[in-house]
Amino acid sequence: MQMFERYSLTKLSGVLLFGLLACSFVQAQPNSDLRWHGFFSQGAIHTDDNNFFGDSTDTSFDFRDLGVGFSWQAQNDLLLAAQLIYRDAGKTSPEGAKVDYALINYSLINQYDFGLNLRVGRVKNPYAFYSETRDVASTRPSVILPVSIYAPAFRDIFHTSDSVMLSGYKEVANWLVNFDLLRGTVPFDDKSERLLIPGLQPASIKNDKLWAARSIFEYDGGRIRLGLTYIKFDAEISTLPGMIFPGDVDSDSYIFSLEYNWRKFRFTSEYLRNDFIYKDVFAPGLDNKREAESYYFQLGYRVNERLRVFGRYDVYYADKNDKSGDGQLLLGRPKSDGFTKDYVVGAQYHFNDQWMLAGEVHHVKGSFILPLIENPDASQIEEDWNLYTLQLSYKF
Amino acid sequence: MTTWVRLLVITCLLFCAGNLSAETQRVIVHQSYVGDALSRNTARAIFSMRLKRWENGEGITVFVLPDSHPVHRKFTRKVLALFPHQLRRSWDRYVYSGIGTAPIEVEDENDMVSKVAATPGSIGYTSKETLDADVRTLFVN
Repeated sequence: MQMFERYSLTKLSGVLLFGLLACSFVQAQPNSDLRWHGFFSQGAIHTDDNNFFGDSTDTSFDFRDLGVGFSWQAQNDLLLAAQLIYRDAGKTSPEGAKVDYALINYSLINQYDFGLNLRVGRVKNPYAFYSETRDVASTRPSVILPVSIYAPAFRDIFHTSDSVMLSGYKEVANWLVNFDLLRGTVPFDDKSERLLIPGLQPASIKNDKLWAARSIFEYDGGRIRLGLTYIKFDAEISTLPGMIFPGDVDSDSYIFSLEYNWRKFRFTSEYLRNDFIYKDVFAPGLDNKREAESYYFQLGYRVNERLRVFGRYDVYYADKNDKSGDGQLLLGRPKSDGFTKDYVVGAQYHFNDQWMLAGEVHHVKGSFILPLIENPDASQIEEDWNLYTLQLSYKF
Repeated sequence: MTTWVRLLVITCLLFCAGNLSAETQRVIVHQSYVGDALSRNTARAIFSMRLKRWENGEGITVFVLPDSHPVHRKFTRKVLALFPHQLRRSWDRYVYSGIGTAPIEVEDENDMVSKVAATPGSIGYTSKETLDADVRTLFVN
């Protein structure tokens, strides 16, 4: 039944997308309520050690995003929307284009101070401040989002889902309270599935369930923003007994987000606590718990309408009870895989409302941020390294 | 002397009046709109694309000038008490996560007035006085 639910929802998203496309072409007359949008970015990454998004020690250009989508206001209270995305992020990205979202949004209540929406289909999960638009360069504060909250490794688990979602807003005094509730399943592919399975033994994920709840409190049109996110993910690991055993993987994440705007400054900080529990997987009857803790502090400054600069300190510990990463040695990985401390400075230049050039310099201690798939040889990993990146982007 | 004072006063008045009209930001709606005022919170809800329907159930069509247009910047600051980049953030979230739409961008103020005049249920803004019979000017308070 659960399997049926998962695949039928995923299939539903696909059918929705093509149905919507067909409807939209029929409807595509001047002044119709069909709107197209898209975005594109091309980046270059250079590292003095270790590989990040391609062979970055030789400078990698395998770093691009391409998205195109539409929305169709079928009726005043009914919006249909879908987006296709193609991502290239070295070896970490999936092959080919994917349905990023395809959903029906039904507006149940729509008043100036209170609203409620029901969404069904493939949706962007409510997750902290930046997740929903993380692939659109100009919506990010930096080329690479803080790894503490938006680790590329966990992207596919937490970013989109085939779900039913309830979203709304309520105005109270000078505060706008936004809230989202979601129940669904994760559209895994083989690569993202492997991220959850320890070791290399053949195994698969089944019966996965995702719950998410988020509230964002905005004061005075967004001068102060406070966010609370909770995401729960449960799944079964199906395998034959061997190095690992059939069992469950459960994950609970709590995120606190804060943004404060003062004159031309923007201060942002987010904190994540993520518990991963493997039941029976390492040995029948044994619970293996890992408590990841991570956070960042960022200060941005708007020099003028075109130029923005920022600095950030970004920290991730794979296990808050093992901040030096000793436990990584047991897995045949260097201690530095257990943490990352990233010192970043960067700038964005907006040529106009569409084109942007962004660049930044990272000084990193630790290797958690590095994709395992691009750095399989533990002896080659350097704990202290630098990353330089430049990215040109366009959106419409 | 008196002539000079008179001229000075007139110049001052003209200057102030000129200044006033440059500062004035008019929210304009299609003439089908019933009423002559809008609260700031409602205006914010409309221009941030949260509120999609008028009280009579008719869909709202929102027209804006480009982000970098001086009149857009002045309008968002003075009337909505927001920064253009705050509005842009809401619109981007709606568009790129598929849960809403962005306003329709017009080229300049003349284009704004003619689009609002031609679109029932629409809203926009201008810094100039408009005599178009199909457009109604609203107070935001």
